[in-house]
Amino acid sequence: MGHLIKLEWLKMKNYTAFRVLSFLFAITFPLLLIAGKRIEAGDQAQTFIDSFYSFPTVFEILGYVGNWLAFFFLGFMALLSVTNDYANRTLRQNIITGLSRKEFILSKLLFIAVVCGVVTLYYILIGSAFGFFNTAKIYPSDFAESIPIFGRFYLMCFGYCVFGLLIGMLVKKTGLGLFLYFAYTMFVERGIRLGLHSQIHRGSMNYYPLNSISDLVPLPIQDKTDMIKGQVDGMEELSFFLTSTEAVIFSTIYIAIFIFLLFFIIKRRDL
Amino acid sequence: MPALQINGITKRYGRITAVNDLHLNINKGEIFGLLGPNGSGKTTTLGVVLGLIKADSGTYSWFENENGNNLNTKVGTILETPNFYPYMTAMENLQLIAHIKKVGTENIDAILELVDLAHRKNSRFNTYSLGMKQRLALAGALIGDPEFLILDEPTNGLDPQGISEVREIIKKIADSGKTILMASHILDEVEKVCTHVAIIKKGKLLATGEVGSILSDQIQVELISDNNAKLLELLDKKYKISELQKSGDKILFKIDANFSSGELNKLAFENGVTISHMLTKKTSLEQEFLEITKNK
Repeated sequence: MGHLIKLEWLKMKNYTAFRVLSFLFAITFPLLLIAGKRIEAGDQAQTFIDSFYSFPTVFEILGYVGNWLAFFFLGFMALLSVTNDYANRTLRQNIITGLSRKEFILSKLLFIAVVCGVVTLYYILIGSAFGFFNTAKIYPSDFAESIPIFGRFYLMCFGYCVFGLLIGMLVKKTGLGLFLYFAYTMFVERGIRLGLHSQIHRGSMNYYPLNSISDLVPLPIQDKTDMIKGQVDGMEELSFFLTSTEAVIFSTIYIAIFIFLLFFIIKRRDL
Repeated sequence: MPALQINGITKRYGRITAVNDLHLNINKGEIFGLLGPNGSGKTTTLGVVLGLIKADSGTYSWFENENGNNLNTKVGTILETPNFYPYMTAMENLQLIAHIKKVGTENIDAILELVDLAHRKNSRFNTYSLGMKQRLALAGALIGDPEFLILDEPTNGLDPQGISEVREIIKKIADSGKTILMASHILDEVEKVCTHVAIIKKGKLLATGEVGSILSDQIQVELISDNNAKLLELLDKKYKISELQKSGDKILFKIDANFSSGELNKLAFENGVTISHMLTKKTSLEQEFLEITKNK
């Protein structure tokens, strides 16, 4: 296992795109939170904004910021790691050299599993630092309450990365891959979900792959959306987000399907 | 002992049959040339035996399956173009290969010396010339000291100096006793480097055997004499004659390369035969190759 993780590390450590994306992710993550804190607002709004930075809400807010960043930076990174091997024909060379097809995919999966672990630790570290300096009275229970979101954050990062690997494996080309990755998530799935599925059956429109992964760490406004549902007629069956449990179950299923497809494609494809 | 056996491999791409029921045996220690024009199925054949391309039918086995088909350290390969990570140095790329093969990196410096790239080992691959890239590909194939090397068009696209350098390296490698399977469309290359050859065209095997027996340097002779039958009888006792044709009072045939026209004149004179016309022409390998592949 360590051998395969090291193999991917040897490939990626000098890859400019990997370095740039890692650097951008590392600085953007805390900077976005700092920028949000510096917004000038009225007293009432300021109190509301400040509440974002205290335990346990800080992990939800930072998690949501991380949701977007993971979608862009980590997903792109995973996709590039595959298209890079196709563009340089090094996938073929790796196999010629003696790596099995299964090991090739396994090395990518294990490496992103490690990267996602590091990113999750970084997320916990930043969230803890913000929470520590912005919470008037810290209760250990507030931190303990956040532990499930750490796991969901990890699964979310891993989900985006596996989806990135799959798109990379399917299309082989970097430009087309990035376009499809972005277009599917931002437009295709949303279009089908909100434009078509919602017209047929609203209750089940959130169970799509990327939406499930995204809802692992959603914008923390569930209580407010529940309030809206209770006040507006005809909104009872409308659900804005999957519950945490639903998101975990469906994301896990989709990730398993993506991984199955990765092995299926590489097994059958001529290189 | 067979190092690689190919048994009836067929590979189709749609309606095109790239490899057609190909059978080959490559024994340990041979420098085996896979010779054929562009698009004859050489690279597809190599792709199949390396597990990169799935054959529609047929089988292959390495080293009589003594180690299963785990080829990690036993086979080193260059397939078509040299494929390395462009942003990594030669050293880093070779270390990556050693990592995949799970072998040590201590021989890398010696291998870089052999391919004359030691002085550029810390330069990125994308700064290399084509000749240097090809030499690095040879270095990559030698990592782990494999006993079998597959070289697909190893001098493709190189300038004359690059070709000569790569050939020299291949000869050095061959001298160390490794088995080499070299695909090429260049006859001269196969003749200079290989001990055995298989000629393929449109994926079909046309001829296989020792280079000397397949691509022989025979002499083509055209003769007119007052007694052709007696002359042929005399020649047949001394030389190996093949492809005999008669055209009017002219006879055409091929004869061993050690034949000399002076000797034939002497022989005819001693036996009372008068030669009125004699034309000898050395058959080039190209002609030989074209004849084998013609209309097949």
